Amino acid sequence: MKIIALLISLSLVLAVGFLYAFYRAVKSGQFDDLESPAMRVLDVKKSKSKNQN
Amino acid sequence: MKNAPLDVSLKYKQFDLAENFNQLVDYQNDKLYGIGISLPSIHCSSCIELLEDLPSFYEGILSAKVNFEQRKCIVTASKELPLSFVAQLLEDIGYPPQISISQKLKEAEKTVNKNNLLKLAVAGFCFGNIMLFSMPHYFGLQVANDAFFARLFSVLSVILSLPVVFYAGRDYLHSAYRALAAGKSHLNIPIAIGILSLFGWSLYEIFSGVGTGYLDSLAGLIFFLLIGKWFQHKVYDQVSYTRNVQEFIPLVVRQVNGEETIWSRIDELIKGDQVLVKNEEIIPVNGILSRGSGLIDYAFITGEALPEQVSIGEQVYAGGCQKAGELTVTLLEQPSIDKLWSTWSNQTEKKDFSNRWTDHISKYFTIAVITIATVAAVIWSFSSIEKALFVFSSVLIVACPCALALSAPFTFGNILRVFSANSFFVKEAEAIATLGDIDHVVLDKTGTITENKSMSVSYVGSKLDVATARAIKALATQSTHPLSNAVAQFLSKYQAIDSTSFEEIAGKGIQGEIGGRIIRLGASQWLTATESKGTAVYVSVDNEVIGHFKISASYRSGLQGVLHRLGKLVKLSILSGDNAGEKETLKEIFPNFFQLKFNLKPQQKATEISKIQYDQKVLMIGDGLNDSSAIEKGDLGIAITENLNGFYPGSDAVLLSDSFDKLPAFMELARYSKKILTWSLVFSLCYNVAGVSFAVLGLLTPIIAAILMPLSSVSVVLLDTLLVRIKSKKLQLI
Repeated sequence: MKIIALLISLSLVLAVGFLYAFYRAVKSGQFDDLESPAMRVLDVKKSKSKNQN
Repeated sequence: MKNAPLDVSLKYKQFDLAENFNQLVDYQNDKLYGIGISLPSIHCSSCIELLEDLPSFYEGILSAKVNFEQRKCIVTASKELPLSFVAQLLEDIGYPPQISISQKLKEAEKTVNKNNLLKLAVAGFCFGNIMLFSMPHYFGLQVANDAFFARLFSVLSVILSLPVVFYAGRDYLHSAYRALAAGKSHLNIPIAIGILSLFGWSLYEIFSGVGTGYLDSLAGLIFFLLIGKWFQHKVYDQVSYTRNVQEFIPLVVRQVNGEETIWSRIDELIKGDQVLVKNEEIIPVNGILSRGSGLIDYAFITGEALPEQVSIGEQVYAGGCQKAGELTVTLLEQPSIDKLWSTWSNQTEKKDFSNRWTDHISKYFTIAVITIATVAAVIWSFSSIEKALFVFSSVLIVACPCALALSAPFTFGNILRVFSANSFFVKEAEAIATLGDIDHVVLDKTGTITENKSMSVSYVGSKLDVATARAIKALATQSTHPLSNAVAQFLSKYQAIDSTSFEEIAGKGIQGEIGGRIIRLGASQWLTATESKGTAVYVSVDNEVIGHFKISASYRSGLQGVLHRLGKLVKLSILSGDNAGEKETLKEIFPNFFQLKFNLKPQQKATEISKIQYDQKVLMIGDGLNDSSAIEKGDLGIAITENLNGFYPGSDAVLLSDSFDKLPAFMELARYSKKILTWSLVFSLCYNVAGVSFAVLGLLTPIIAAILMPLSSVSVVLLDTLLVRIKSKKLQLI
C-alpha cells in the first residue's frame, strides 16, 4: 500500500513540472499568437536561407 | 544596402519627440528600440512574409515579427532610424500603422488579464490535486483512516494550498490589506477575511491533528472566484465603454491660411501652422506668439491670478486665456488634444457631483456583512464548528456588493458614449447624474436658440466711409460675441486696420482707438443711442452715434419642438443680454416660460440663476465665452458652439449646435439613468439578501457562494448596458 505514497509524489512532481512548463509558455508569449507560426512555416524565402545555413 | 529615400509625413513626426517616444516603445537601450505596432491591414500569410522580410531590404530595421491574431508587428530598429521613418515605411508598403499612447495603455491592461489567467491555471491545478487528496476522506475509504496516509494527504494539501492563497488569491488579500492599512473600507475585505479564516482554521485542524481541514473548499473557492473574475472581464470587454472620450472630439481651431482663416481639426495641424485666437478665447496650442499682443491668463493651469504679458516671439501655452484681443500663435510642435482636455477636466473642482454614495454604502456594508457572518457563525458553532466556519465564509463571499460598485460607472460610461456619438461632450461621467436632477433650464438667446450661421445684417445710419468701415471691422473681429462676428462677416469686403488698442466691456460692447478716433461698438444704452426695434449693434465715432447694424437672426430649426419637449420635463427660462424686441415672438413659440428677461449683463444672469437655485437645480445653456459666468453659476453648465473650437472654462459639457434638437433626448436619457441605478440597486440588494439568508441557514457552501458572487455582478452590468441601449434607441440617439 505504501507504494501509493511514492506514486503520488511522482505524479505530483510530474504535474508540477507540466504546470511550470505551461507557466513558462504563457509568460514567454507562446499563447499570444496561435496563427502566424503556422503561416510562417510556408515562407519559402526563410526556409531556403535556413537550408543554406 | 542603401535605403530608398522616404518622404515622412508630418503626422508621424510627433512620434520622435522624446516624451512620446518613451511612452510608445516597449523597450530601448542606447542602440536600439523595440515597439509593437498595430497594423490593421495585415490579412494573409503573404503579409507575414513581406513584413518579416523588412530587415533584409531596409537598413536600420533589425528584426520584425508578426503577430497575426492581434494584427501587430513587433519591430526592433536601430536608434539611427527614427520611429517616424518606420511608420512611414510601413505605410508606404501598404500597412498604415496605428500608433497611439492610449492604445499602448490598453495593451497594458491585457497583460493584467494574462496574469489573471495564469493565476486561474495555478488555482485550478492545486484545486484539482487537493480534491484528489480529499477523496478518500469523503468516500470513507480505508486509506483515509491510515495515520500515515492521512498525514501525507494533509501535508500535501497544505503545500498545494500555499500558491492558491498567496499567489492566486493575492489580489484579494493585497487590496484588503492596503485598504485596512489606509484606514479605508474595501469590497474585498470580507472576501479576504473569508479566505484567511478558512485557511487559518484548516491549518489549525491539520497541525493539531483535530481534523483534515477545508483546504479543498478553500482552493475551490478561490478557483471559482477567479473564473468569475475572468468571465467578468470577458463580459466587460464586450460592453465596455470608451474611457478616452477625447479621441472622439472633433476639436477645431482657426487656422491662418494666407489671407483667410479656415477651421481646421486640431489633430491635423502641424508644426509651423498659424492659429488665430480671439479675445477671451482659450489658447488651444503651445507655440510662439507671432502677431498681436498677449495678455494671457493662466489661472486655469497655474492658479496665478494676474494675467501674464507676452510679447511677439515669446512662448504661449495651451490652456491660457487671451485677454487683450486677437493674436496669432505659430505652432512649435504637433498639438495634442490630451493636454487641452486635461486642462479642462482638471480645473479646480468647483462643483460637487456628489455621487460617491457607493463609498459610503460599502463602508457600512462591510461592517454589516462581517457582523452578520460572525453572529451566524457563533450561533452555528453550538451545533458544529465545521458548519459555523462554512456559514461564516459563505456569508462573507456571497454578500460581496461588487454589483453596487459597478452599476454607476457602467451606466454613466455607456451614456457618455451615446452622448459623444451625438456631439454632446460631457466632462465627467458624474455630471450625467446632475443632468438627470435638473428641474430648471435657463437658455441664452443669441447664439443659443438663434442660429449664428443664418444671421442677416443690414446697416442703418449715416453713410460708412471706407476708413470707418475698416476701423469697425478691426474692432468687430477682436471679439467672439456672435453679434460682433456677424458684423465682421457683413464687412468682409473691407480689410481690417491692424490695431491692438481696444477694450471689450462685457455686456456692453467693445471700444478702441483707431486712426486717432475712438470707435465704440455695442449696446444702445451704452452708447446712449435711440433704441430701434430688434437686435442691433450700435456704432459711435468720438462719442457720436453714427448708426447701427440691424441684425436679425432666425431661430434654430426645430426650436419649438425642443422647447415643448423640454417644457414637459423642466421649467424653462430665457435670460438674454439683448433688448426685449423678440419677447412676443418667443412667447408665441413657447407660451409657458417661467421667466423671460432681457437687457441682462453677464453678471446679472448669474445673479438671476442663483435666485432660481434657491429651490431648484439649474442647467444653464449658453455661449461658452460670453455667458461663462452664468454657465459656471448653474448646477450644470453647457456651452453651445457651432464649431468645437476649444473647451470653455466653467462649462461642464460642450454641445455642438447641430445636436441642439437632441437636447430633450439627452435630458430624458440622463433622467432615466437614475431609474436604471435604482433598479440595479434593488436587484443586487435582493440578490444579496437572498444569498445571505441562504448562507446564514447553512444552505450554501463557500464554493457555491464563489460561483454566485460574480454572476450577480455580471448580470447587473448587462442589465445596465441593455437598459441604456434600449432607452437610447427609443430616443433615437443610436
